[in-house]
Amino acid sequence: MKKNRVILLLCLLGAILFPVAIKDLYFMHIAILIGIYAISAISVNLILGYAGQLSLGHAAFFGIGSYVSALAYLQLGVPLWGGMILAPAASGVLGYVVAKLALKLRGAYFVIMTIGVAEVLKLVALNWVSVTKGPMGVTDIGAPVLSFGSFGTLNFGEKVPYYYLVLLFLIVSVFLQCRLIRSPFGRSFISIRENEDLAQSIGINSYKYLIIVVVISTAIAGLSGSLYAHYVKFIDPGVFAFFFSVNLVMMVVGGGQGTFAGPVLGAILFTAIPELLRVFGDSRMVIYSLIVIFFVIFMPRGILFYLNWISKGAGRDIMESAYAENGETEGSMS
Amino acid sequence: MLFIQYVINGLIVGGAYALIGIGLTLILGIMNVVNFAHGEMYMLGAYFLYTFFALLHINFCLSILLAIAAVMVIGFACEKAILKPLRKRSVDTVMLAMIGVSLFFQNMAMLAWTAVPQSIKDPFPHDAIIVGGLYFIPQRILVIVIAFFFVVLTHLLLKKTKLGKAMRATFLDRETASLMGINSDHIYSFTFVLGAGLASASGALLGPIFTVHPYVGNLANLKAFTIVIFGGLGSFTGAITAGLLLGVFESLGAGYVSSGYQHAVGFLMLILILIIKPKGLFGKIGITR
Repeated sequence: MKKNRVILLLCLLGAILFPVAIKDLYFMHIAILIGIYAISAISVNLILGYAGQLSLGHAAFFGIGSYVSALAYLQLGVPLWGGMILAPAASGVLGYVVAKLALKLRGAYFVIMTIGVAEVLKLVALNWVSVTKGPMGVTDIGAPVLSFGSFGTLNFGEKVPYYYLVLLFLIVSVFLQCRLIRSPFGRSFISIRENEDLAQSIGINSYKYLIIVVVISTAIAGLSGSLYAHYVKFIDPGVFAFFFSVNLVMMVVGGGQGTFAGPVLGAILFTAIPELLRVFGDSRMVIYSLIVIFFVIFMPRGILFYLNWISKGAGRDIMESAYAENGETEGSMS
Repeated sequence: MLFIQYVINGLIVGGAYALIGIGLTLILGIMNVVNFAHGEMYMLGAYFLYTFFALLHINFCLSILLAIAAVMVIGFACEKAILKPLRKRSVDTVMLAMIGVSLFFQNMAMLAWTAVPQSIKDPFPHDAIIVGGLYFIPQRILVIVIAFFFVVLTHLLLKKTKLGKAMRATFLDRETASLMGINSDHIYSFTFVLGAGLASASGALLGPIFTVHPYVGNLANLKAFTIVIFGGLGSFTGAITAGLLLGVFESLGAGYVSSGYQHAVGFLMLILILIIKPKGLFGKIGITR
């Protein structure tokens, strides 16, 4: 327990001091992206790791968040702060509709439904040219500037302030995830993952609970989309790409599904790997796909499990659930 | 008249959709594998046709057969290398592994054929044959004829041969089937190769109609799953009906609404069936294991 706290504090300290130590703009850029993707990965983890439903269209909720936030800024003049309320709301509503329809039957239906939503939104973004500018994408999405009078201003258009903004939201998301999972509500939907029939027999309405989890998760994805749009300042229908959804799932699976730290670790890993593979040029993505296959086959419990295993149970309670013990054969689609 | 023309065009494309749907429904039903690399078999089918016909100038019909054969070999290798070691693993793990495989093929295709979309020009005359005010393009007639041929062939294989009987037995109850002396390993390999072949046939037939690019498999995959869910898991008749319906609805959607949203039609069908009859038109069991 104490050892975990120390590790957590060290990581936090490292994250806070990162911009002081590293001045390179490229590394700052990657760090900010990691932060944003980690928030998205946490949202995937809520559904996949804790509720046991695989969403392969999470880019849909990320993308709708970024489009809503960007368009609200450009057409109505709503700044990032407003966008961060509108985007989760829009994604959450969409998530509610999808969950309501697809969760009547689980497993593959939900997977296909989420992929379908992402594909349809991509088509809408491509074809609704008058609003989304089609394949040209939306440009000039500004970031807010906070003025503190004589103390100077804080321009979120710059990398370092934005880094801290993203870090703040990442910490809030991790904390939120932690509170949610440890609440009676969180216990309930973990029980649905473990054994749905048993959960229902003690009075847990699994359909209702899963819908709520999906809404929370998609709202968080929307928030990260909003952060993304105001950071890169340009979005196009590519935000709905299937590859992005796959990468988010890989962050969760590779990091450790159903754990608190897994998605963050996965986000670092699966943002860094494609960047590191740039040395291979054109064959980069081929090697990336082999790494994906490797992780799925040989490290299905995620890297966190193996780190724990190496340090002999040092961080046992990072593994919140019995998932690691139950392991593979109790797959989450049952 | 225009309406009938749309329906006929839709049925032709739908015939090829039925092929990819049958392939997926067999793999899902018999092997219990959610095959996300299925669309890639479609993509490879189209690309091999492009290679054999447009680059190597082999006869068109022969090229189609060669393309199917090549993809079947790839499917066999894929089954032995990835699926066989994962037999005892959860459905989710296999599904994620197949997504990895799909990424692999997409990017290999990008290396081999570049990302530039290719259109395959078929060797047939492009003048339409007009019968009673309806237009028939020779290449499209070939599509429906070949699609029909493969559907019948697969049907005969499943219903009339010993192998087909073994496949159906494995679909109903794999444990009892193995107790009866059916080598489920062989059945799985054969099913996957057959499914890959059907998907590649679909790709080779539709390649000349749509353009071919490395990411074409994503959409094909989504359509194949739509067909399987719409028709009902493991239902042969369902896959054919749903494939033809998808073709017709897409054609009508493109004709009367907007061709930009043509590929969204399948998704609407998916929502509709989930509301009205979640287990599909001919479905008896859900996909959830």
